[in-house]
Amino acid sequence: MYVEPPENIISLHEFQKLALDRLQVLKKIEFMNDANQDHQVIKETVIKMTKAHRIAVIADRNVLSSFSMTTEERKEFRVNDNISHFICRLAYCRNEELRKWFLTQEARLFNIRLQDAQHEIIQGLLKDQCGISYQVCQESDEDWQIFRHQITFKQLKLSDQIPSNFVKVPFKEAISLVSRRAVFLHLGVAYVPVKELTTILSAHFRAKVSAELVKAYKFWPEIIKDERIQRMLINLSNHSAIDFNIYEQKAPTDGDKIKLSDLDYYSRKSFPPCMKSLFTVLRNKHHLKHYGRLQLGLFIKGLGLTMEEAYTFWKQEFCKNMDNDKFEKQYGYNIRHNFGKEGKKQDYKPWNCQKILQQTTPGPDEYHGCPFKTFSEEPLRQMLSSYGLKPDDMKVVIDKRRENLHQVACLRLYELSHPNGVSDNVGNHPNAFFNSSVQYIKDVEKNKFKRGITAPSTEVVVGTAPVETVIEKPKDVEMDQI
Amino acid sequence: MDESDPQTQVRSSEMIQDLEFTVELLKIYYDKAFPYDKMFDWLSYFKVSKKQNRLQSLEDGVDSEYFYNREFSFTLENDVYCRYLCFKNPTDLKDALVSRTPHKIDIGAIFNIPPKNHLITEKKVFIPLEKEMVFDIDMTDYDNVRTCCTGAKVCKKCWAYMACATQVINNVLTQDFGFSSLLWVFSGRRGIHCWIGDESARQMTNEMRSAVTEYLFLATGNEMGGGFDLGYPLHPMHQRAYKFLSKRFEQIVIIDQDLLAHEAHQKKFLKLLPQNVANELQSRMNRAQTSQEKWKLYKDTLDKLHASGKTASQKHDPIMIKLVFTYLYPRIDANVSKGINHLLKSPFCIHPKTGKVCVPFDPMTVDNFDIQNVTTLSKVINDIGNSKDGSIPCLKESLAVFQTFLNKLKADSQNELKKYKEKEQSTDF
Repeated sequence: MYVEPPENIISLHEFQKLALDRLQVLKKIEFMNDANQDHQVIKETVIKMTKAHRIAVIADRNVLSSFSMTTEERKEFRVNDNISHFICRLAYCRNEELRKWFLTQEARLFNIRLQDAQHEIIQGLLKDQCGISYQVCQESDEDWQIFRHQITFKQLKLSDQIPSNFVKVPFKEAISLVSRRAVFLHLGVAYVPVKELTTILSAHFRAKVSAELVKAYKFWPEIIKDERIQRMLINLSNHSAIDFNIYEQKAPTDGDKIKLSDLDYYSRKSFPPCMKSLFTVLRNKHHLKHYGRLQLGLFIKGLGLTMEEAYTFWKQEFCKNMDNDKFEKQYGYNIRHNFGKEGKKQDYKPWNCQKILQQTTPGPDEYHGCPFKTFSEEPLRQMLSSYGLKPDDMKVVIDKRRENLHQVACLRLYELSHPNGVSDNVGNHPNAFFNSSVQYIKDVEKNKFKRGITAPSTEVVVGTAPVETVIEKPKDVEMDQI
Repeated sequence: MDESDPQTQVRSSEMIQDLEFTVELLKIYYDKAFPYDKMFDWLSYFKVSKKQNRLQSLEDGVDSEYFYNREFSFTLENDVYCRYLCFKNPTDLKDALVSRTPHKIDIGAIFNIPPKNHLITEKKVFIPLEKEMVFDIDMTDYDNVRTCCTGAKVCKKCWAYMACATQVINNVLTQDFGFSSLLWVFSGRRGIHCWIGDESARQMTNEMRSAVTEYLFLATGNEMGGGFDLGYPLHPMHQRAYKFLSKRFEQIVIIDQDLLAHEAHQKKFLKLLPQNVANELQSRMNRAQTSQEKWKLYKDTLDKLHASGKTASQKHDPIMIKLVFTYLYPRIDANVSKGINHLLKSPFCIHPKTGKVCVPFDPMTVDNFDIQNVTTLSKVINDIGNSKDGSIPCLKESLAVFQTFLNKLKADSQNELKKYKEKEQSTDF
């Protein structure tokens, strides 16, 4: 239950990596829960991630031993679990919204862990970790004698209707069971079946982490004395700006016109980072500030979407947080304006790279601009990995960025994620990145068809292509002159 | 909370001819009749500031911090709404009521600071700490099951629905949750409010309030019908409610409201039966003369279904259960109950549209509550005119109900104090 904060000494790099790894797991959990996936499926996924990230987010002994690893490794997994939890706690203590997100996901994770636990274990945890031992019903109790049928109303099997199967819990500590009417209540006491104790423990866990988050925030001024840590924590807390490879989309059906419903697919493979970041934030937060709307809005217009489609696009997202009226009033004009239907009726062109690079530095909750310029390295790595870049490839791109060659970095990204692809004006215009990428995907599909390869289409997904096939022709010369 | 819409306003003013609701009369009511001391006793919960504390306190005249930090809001004439008001003591409250003569007074939460200072401090540090848990039941939610009246109108027959709701909720709150200090108030026109004064209720978080609300709430009033699921096996609380409500079903739904005379309701009844049974029964029911005959046919069919198998082994008949819950189970306004920060109209307000006083009533005798003869503003004014010692006979009964509630609170607070002192002593040594 994450009681003991870690005292390990770790490098900053490790610090960040562990936290990001945990966030990947939490984000995945969020996504799968929102998609209403089956508990068992979620658990299996999380088990896989446990292994991949070397974090014992599933600490179950049986699960860990199934990985056939050494005692040392097991210990490492557990330590990582603890460290990463505490780092994230720091990163997510800053405000109510962050705390709520973190708490929800951690509680979900906790529940996944407890899914198959025996009630003896739960009772043990309650006692050891929370200092709580609820009174177990006795045959001789007066309330049992009077209410035994009510107490056991949900237990259809006679063998389950024994007093030792029920504990007495103040109703305030069993609120989720109360609101589901899953327990019998009398005079403020909930008679909880032992197998439902998981819910109670989970509520305690939640309450505890919640309190700890508030407590952690009190030390925030102390923590951020080190500017590097501050920056890192703030980056880590920006969970909605990081794409976690979780949206799995089918390739759009053929046809030259880009359809609204295809955007999710294209956003993953063919949006340049400056648009992908905005798109991801929009999908996560259902809102973008002015310059973000402008940058993404004109780009989408450049894809050939009609004004009506663009309108639907923004409305779909924004109206998750506001009613139609407010949207029409505050943002309708904006969209029509972009399409030259309002104000001075100018037909605005999608921004090119230069224009995007000239934008003011994004403030709080702003995500416009060129990520190669505005992102710090770690979020940028996250971004690059979402295009399927391997660490070595990333270095190539990051190196360019370090030289402040933002547009070249973008071109490198394109080349590395579209092996042997034609890059027409990529690095000068976001829409060029998009058009080239879409053309590339089509060509790949066509070739495959010609050769009669029946491999599933996921194999040709851009970005997952092997590194060896990357063309090594440097194009720096031309690009550097821009 | 707000019960006014233009249509009903017209109707209700036609209905009540002897209505005399004027600002002048209201002023006299606030000056002579409003029970300030009792209201203070209630809302201070006997947590009175000690003398020496009062001298030190920055603001003079604060009799109880607990009372002072409570939000009041006034609705003035012309619907001007003033929030975040607070008062130091009964006199302070009286001065405000007499001088501003609000048409409606709402009571909100107890904050960490006096609510009037909410603009001085940062938004983050203005926090609602406690409030009674409240329930609000409005007759309009029963419009699709009452034929006697609609909208703002109420009569003895529709009050029967309220009486059912009161008794079921009262029972659940006391038996299941163990709350003991409940104040039931008629809301002045067509609804009822319930305030749970227990300290443990006042201290509940929004999550806990939601849980209690969800426990009680069933979406029975939904127009689409049949949209609620009771779950199986029936929860003990529902079993109790069913036992209580089923006894009243025939009188209220079949006889008083005569709902089977309406095709829509007959359809609803039939829809619960298997298709072939329903078809056959429908033609027979259509031939029947009175609702009671129809009901007899329906009941006989249920009995036959019972005897013929599937449902026979079950203690309660699921079809009958569904009917009873659809028509008689309490229809609460869930949102009012879930939030600590939700305001609710104060007892002893005068409803501007009816002139009726929002009087507390005893849930045990709710069946006898005479909704058409509730004390009105003009009756109170009349009593004031005739009174030599300042007593107001027409409010006596409701004040007595209120006092019973206060006595309970006082006893609780003394017990609490005793416990606290004992604890302090035991830790001293």
